[in-house]
Amino acid sequence: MSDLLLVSADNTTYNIERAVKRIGSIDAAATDMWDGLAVNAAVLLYRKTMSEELKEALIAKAGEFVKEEVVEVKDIDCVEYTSAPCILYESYRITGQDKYKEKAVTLEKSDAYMGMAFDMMHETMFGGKEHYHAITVKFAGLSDRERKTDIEKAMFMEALIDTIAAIDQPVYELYRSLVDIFRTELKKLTAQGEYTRGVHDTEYTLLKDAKAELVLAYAIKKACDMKVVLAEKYECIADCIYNRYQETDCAYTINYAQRI
Amino acid sequence: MNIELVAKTSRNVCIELKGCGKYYTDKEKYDIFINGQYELSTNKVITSIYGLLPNTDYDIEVREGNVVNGDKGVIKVKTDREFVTLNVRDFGAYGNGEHDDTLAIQTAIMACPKEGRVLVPEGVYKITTLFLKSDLTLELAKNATLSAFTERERFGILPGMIQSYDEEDEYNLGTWEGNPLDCFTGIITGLNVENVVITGEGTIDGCASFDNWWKNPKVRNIAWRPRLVFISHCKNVTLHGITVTNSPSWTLHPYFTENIRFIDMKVINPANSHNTDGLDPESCTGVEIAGVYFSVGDDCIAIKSGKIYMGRKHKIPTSNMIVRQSCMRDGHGAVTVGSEIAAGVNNVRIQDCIFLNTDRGLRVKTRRGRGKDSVLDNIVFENIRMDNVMTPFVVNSFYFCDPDGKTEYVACKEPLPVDERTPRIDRLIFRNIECHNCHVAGAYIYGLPEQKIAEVTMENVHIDYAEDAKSGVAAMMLGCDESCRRGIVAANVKKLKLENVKIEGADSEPFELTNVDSVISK
Repeated sequence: MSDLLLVSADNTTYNIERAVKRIGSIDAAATDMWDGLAVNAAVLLYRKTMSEELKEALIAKAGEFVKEEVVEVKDIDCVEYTSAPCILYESYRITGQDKYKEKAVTLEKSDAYMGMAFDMMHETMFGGKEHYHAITVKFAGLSDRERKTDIEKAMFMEALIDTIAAIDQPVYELYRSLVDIFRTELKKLTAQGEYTRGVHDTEYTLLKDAKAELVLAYAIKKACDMKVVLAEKYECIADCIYNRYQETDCAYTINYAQRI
Repeated sequence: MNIELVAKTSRNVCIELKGCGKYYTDKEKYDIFINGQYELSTNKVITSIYGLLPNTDYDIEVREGNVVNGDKGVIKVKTDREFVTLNVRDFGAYGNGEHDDTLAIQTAIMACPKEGRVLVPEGVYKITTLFLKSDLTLELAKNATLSAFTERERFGILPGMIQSYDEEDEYNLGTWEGNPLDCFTGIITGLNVENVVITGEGTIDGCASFDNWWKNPKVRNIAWRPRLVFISHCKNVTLHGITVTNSPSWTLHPYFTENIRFIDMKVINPANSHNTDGLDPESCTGVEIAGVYFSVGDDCIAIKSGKIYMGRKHKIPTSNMIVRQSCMRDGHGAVTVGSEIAAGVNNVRIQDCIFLNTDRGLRVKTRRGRGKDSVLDNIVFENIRMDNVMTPFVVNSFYFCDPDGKTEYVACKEPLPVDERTPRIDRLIFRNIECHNCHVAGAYIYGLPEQKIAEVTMENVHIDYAEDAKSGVAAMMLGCDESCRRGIVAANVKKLKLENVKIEGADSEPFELTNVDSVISK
């Protein structure tokens, strides 16, 4: 095993080396949705393991984002998920250095739901939380609109759970409004899904598009960890989907809780 | 002199010398005789007698001290029956100030039968959390101290909200400032228990300091800080006689509880400690506070009913509450209503009390956004003496709390539409109140322009000012500037009834009234 494999306090082993390589591979000048998810997962992996190597990798990449004049985000199937805010906010949180904050606040806020988590992050860290209500109202409005493609459905859930992660819980009624949206939308998705019951376990298929399904599994996994939804009911669904795709690059990208 | 029984157990009684003063007796002292024998002297209107025997008749006579043919009164009392006493030392408690005695004392508690008594004798017993159970009497003897550990990792956590398996419901355990959030277990915790008495001359010491619980107090560290005594969803609970001190956060926190009494207690936290409210009844009904001495670092009594989520979901106000014969000193507010009052507060009476050196006497804190269920009604203050209170009466409908507290929505002094977010204040009554040595203002009462305070009554209220009156901000709201020796300031009130209200020594007009629809003055 690589030297960079860590055993955390709960005896789960994480592949830090893989995460470090993935972060290193990101081109700060032009990122795409998978880069955004990889950054998101790496930040969560760092917070779970407190790995020095991963920390250095994140900060080094954040430094590249600071230097870039314009950070271009490529969309995939009309879906964007930007890397810059997450890595910049995390680097500011770790180091306290203003350069990361100064770059993060210059980034254009997205009107689309994909950008809401970063808006919420900004409000929590710097904005005095005054616009919490406006952001939650936006999400409530979005949940009523039909999302056409599988990747849009998945990314909506991903953006929503990241927004929930970013909001300060003591503003409880707003935190709960977002949690309730997530629970309602997840129930709809699982109600529409397909289940094949085996002898010992059940195979779940929630979306036809494999990549979209993986993103949805990632969002569900985070929701279970955050106790937004019942892990007892939903973690098995996420695990089933991961197990189906575990050899793919996308799975490695976003399975921050990957066990060796 | 009329003597009334306030409370009793198998081993002690608590009596009240009716009409003899406010917290302290008007006369220097009274001597108490039990079955003709001198027992003790007292200068408190509500006094307890300890060391009695179970199931025994006593004649208790109270005589004015050092006075021949002075005032006196008699009461006959029979103490309660007692089945057994469980001495915690017999269950393995050391009481040496070092050994973790939590399990030993908890064992005694769980083993206590009906009509039994768990006795903590003299000694210092180190504990983390003790859980109460139904039908329990827990007695802390004189010089017995339950002394809490302060390493937070030793404490259990009460999760704020746990989703039910069918995903249709949820279970609330933890709470922090009106929201269902993870918190540490209280040093004394009661969850869903009934018929509990905690009594005695002993002490519960939270051992909080600026090196532990009071360090970075606004930051959640694993979970939110524990209360010293947390009584959640309980019925028929009495705390009597004990001293509670150095609380990690709010000291006494009854939560969604019915029929709870706090009798002849002392609640003491350093004046500079953070968030150490004395007693915060939250969404409770049937609350009695009698003969309690408060000296704390935040509000002495703060009456609450949750923030928006819990208020809207459960709609349980704090109601039917009486505070009497108590002394509130040194804190921010003597009796505060709010700011977490999303389910309202009603039928509250504060009488025969003294407020000393607090920032405010009565303090109401509310704001737009608390919700239409946030209705305050029938709050009565009667027979109160205040001394060196900065501003005796403050009603603030623009309290700038929470993340949006300083937004235009909260702060706007122009009328906004009344909607589901608008709180309401109905009747406030202040009667027979002496306020000496005030500083900032006699009263600062500010309602919402779109939903004015329905009725404020001031009868027989006397206000005078300290010679060296200090300036200050009367209410925590945008636009309230520092001032000194203002009179009665009232704005956005429908009916203001003034009868025999005297203001002596104000630097400004005695009455500054804005947008008050009707003033009835006698």
